[in-house]
Amino acid sequence: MFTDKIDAKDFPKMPGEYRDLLVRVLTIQADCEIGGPHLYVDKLLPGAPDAIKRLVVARTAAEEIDHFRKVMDVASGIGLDLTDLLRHSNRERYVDAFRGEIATWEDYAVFGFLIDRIGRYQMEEFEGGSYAPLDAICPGILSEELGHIENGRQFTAELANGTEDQRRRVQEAIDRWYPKGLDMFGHSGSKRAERYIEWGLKHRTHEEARAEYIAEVNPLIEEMGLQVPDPEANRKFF
Amino acid sequence: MPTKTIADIDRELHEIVAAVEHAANWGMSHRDEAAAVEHTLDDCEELIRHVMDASVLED
Repeated sequence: MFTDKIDAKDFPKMPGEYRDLLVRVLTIQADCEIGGPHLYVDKLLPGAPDAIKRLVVARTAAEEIDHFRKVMDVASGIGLDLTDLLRHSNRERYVDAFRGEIATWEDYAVFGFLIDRIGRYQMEEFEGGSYAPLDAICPGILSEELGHIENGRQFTAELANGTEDQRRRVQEAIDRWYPKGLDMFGHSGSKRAERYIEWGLKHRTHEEARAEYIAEVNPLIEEMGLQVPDPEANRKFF
Repeated sequence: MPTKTIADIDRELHEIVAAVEHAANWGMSHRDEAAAVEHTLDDCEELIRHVMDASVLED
């Protein structure tokens, strides 16, 4: 496995496979960072249940925009211009989970609880990785993602402890986002994932990361008295 | 025709993020002042929409 640390000045000297994989991962990461606020700002910034929750939505959106900015900066170091991602509509997002719209508070809560957690898994892949500028932005982004995840967990738990209607609606949101989340890890046995690991750009295979996520998140869902969805239902990638 | 560079966009995004974070934190610490919080939320929304509609890319 490749264990060197690569900087922007080394990038042109790296083999084509490394350059292609780095370009790909930066593009997808930036797309996901800006894709998040595009999902929920329209409806939830004006429509969250109270002013404090609206402020949480605003601050979360700002932090995700800042994550986009940081990834965009890393990309610009290798001559990759990702600014056009700012123009993309939700339909053009790379990852399926970012292609719709979040229009309800329970979907916003569960998105933070389940999907921002996958954002954390993704950033952990880059920590200590071979591309030093990407490694360098991980701690700041991870720290803010942990805040988003905890907000999502608290809001989800609040709804799970709420009225019968709130409980039913938050369970439906879990049922919607759980399979999308598991799919976000990608195909098991992915050859590309093996190449990322070989080049020190990631640490875990898709199936390893997905199994760790399931082991982490299922007990949290059960603690709230909610049902863990069938892990094979409504899935696209296994 | 003047065109924004990545550095220009980076600077502008950075300013927007800082302004929204400052406003959101101010609003949270003044939660009892409903009218002021509403005004703060309007400011946050205007700033964030500048990014969401990609007008941050325009000269």
